[in-house]
Amino acid sequence: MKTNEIEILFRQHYNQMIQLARMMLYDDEESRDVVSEVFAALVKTDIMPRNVENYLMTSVRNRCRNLLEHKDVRAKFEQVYVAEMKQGSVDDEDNLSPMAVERKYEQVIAYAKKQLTEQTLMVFQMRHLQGMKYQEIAEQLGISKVMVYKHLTKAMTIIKEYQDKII
Amino acid sequence: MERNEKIQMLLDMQEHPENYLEQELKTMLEDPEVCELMEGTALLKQAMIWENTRKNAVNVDTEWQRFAGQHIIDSKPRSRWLKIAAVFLGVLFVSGITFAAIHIVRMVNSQKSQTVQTEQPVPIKPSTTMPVDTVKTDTIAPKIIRYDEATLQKILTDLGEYYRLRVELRNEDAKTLRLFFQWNQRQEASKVLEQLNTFERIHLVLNDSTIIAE
Repeated sequence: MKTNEIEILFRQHYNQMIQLARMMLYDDEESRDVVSEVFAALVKTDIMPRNVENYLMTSVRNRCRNLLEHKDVRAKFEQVYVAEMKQGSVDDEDNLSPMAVERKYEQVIAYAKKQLTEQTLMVFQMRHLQGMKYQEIAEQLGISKVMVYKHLTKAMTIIKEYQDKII
Repeated sequence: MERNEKIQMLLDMQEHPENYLEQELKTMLEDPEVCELMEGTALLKQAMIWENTRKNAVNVDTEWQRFAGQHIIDSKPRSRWLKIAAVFLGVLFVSGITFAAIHIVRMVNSQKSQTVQTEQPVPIKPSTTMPVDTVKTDTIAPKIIRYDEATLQKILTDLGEYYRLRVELRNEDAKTLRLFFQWNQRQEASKVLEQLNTFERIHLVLNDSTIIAE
């Protein structure tokens, strides 16, 4: 494909693609690589996919799944990768419109903010988004390690409740 | 196992997966309740990432530049090739001038001069029948020196010795930059520096009795 055609697609779809990759891989560098690979494949072809947006998003999703399948079980536990699980939330998005995806995450965030304290949300973020160890979180927040466990347990219980409600 | 116990075990497995056998972890993942807990955690994690990404928009311009630099041959690399081409054209231009100079000298002298491709400058045999107006007043006859991938530092040091000028290298690049160059000692220092300045990345100034590489 011509450079200017690829640039237009890149500028139109990059944000959406990187967001999807990040939500599946939880890693900025890996996500960037995946999106780059998808566009790099377009550089080498002369055929414009019929439904471009669908093609780009499916390509990102497939490449992420491929990467996740090769992660070992320990990494799956550590990072809570769910893409290959039966009811993986990202998988469900295959059939959801961008508006519906947005609504889904807004609802989760709203529920979590309503049911969990700021400190519980903070502990969850530190553990799952920043990848900190329990001991590090405890030291940074000036609480015990047991309290870190309690916050994470609470977060898990509340989200489980939310899932039970919406099903 | 109660849900709370499972959660505690799951949290421990997430913190220290290395403490468990692969089979133990796989068995845990096969438990439907654990699966749901993992999915719940992932859901909140994804929702938070989604919220963060929405707040901190990606700079698509920067990402495009990065991508184009790595994958598109005719964006960034083209300018690099143009630069290389410009350097070669510069070399050809300078070589053309010096070649013409050699040719004139040959015509006048009817004597072959010899150049050798080496980093060490090899003097061309000076003419013994050089016309009076081309011979300097000192006893050393001017030569044509050809540099083949010599460092700029080496060339400038030679120029300095010949024209009795000091050399000051203010730019670190000047020490390592290598180039092909023919130096006609018949030319004045300012003229030679002018030729060297046609190369990209080279900026030489003649200040009183000092050649300054900026």
